[in-house]
Amino acid sequence: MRALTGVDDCYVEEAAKFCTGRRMISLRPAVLAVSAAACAVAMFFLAQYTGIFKSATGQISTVSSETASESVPDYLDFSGSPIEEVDSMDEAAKITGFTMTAPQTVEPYSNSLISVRFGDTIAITYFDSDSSLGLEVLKASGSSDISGDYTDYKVTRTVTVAGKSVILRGNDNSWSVAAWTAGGFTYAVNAQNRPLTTDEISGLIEAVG
Amino acid sequence: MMDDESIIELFFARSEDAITESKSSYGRLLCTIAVNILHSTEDAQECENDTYFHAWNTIPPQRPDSLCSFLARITRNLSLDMYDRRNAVKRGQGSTGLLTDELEECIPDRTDTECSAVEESAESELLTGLINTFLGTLRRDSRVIFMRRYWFGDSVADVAANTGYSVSKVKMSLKRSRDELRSYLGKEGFRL
Repeated sequence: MRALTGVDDCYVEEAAKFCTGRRMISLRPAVLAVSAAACAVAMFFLAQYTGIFKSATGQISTVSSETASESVPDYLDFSGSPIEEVDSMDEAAKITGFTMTAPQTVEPYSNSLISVRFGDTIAITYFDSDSSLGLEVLKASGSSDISGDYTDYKVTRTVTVAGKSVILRGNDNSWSVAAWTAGGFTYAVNAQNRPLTTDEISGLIEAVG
Repeated sequence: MMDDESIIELFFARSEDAITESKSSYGRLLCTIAVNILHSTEDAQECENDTYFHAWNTIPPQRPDSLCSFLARITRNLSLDMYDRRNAVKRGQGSTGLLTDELEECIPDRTDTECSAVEESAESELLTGLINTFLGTLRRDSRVIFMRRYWFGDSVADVAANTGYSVSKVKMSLKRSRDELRSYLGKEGFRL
């Protein structure tokens, strides 16, 4: 355990801030319906446990459990999430102050989802019909690398796509990460799950702004 | 939330707002790390507060490149120290013991051997360097899963929840990473 404490800062930060948006992808109607049903059942049992019942006189009274549950301190309340799913780019723009253009779908992924991360980054996640994560495109203000990927790839190459200088990183003639800046914004494409060819990634970059 | 550079400037200006802002940005993360190791909210809070105290005493002169990692590292060390003190007799207790058991498949615990403190320190530094190199070879998802489990101390279920991956993928990824790390350390001549 101790030997791990000294690992590079970038790996600690990468893991601390990693978010794929997959949690949002998984909150689809079927799952929500099941969750709602589970909540209803839980509420029923909670009512039983706290002893909400009608007394013999017909008055409703409560008996609180002898075992008081410990309230969760604020700093352990993880109900918030750094990812906020939005329904449209307009909503994303209201939060971040800027908008992003990108394709609605990217072959072979038939679905996409827009989210805002940490209040300052727009992300479009492309995924399969079975919710498998495909790739994501990110945009934020500034010039730093927002890919969040610190992998030591075998190949790093700089190419020009639509007048933009793009840094590609990957292995064996396919690209897992692309990063570039334009007009005061920084962009990234993460395709680690299915790396892209040069043509594929160039086509995507041309369509993003 | 204030950016890291501004928070660090508050430390340099000896403004106590540095603590408030650090807590606002990273308090939750630091407590997650401490709770994962110590399994006690009271102890976790103590470690979190001690983290800010240590940060106050070291910034300046230190100017961390990553405030997140800097604070997280302090919390991790403090939590491990507290865990060791409270479990000196009962080793292997609780899920922190499970974490240690899993890691010992690939990184043996040298604390029970008869190495001198100097030898242990040199070996630890060498090991950290090798682990850093190894982590750079992993795919991002495998590396994040590995770090969340063994650095942050998340349970397998929490790793799955935090990353959006399934529990089975997390378990398989961890097993593969441990096997690869053991093989890598062996090839590098590290004594296992």
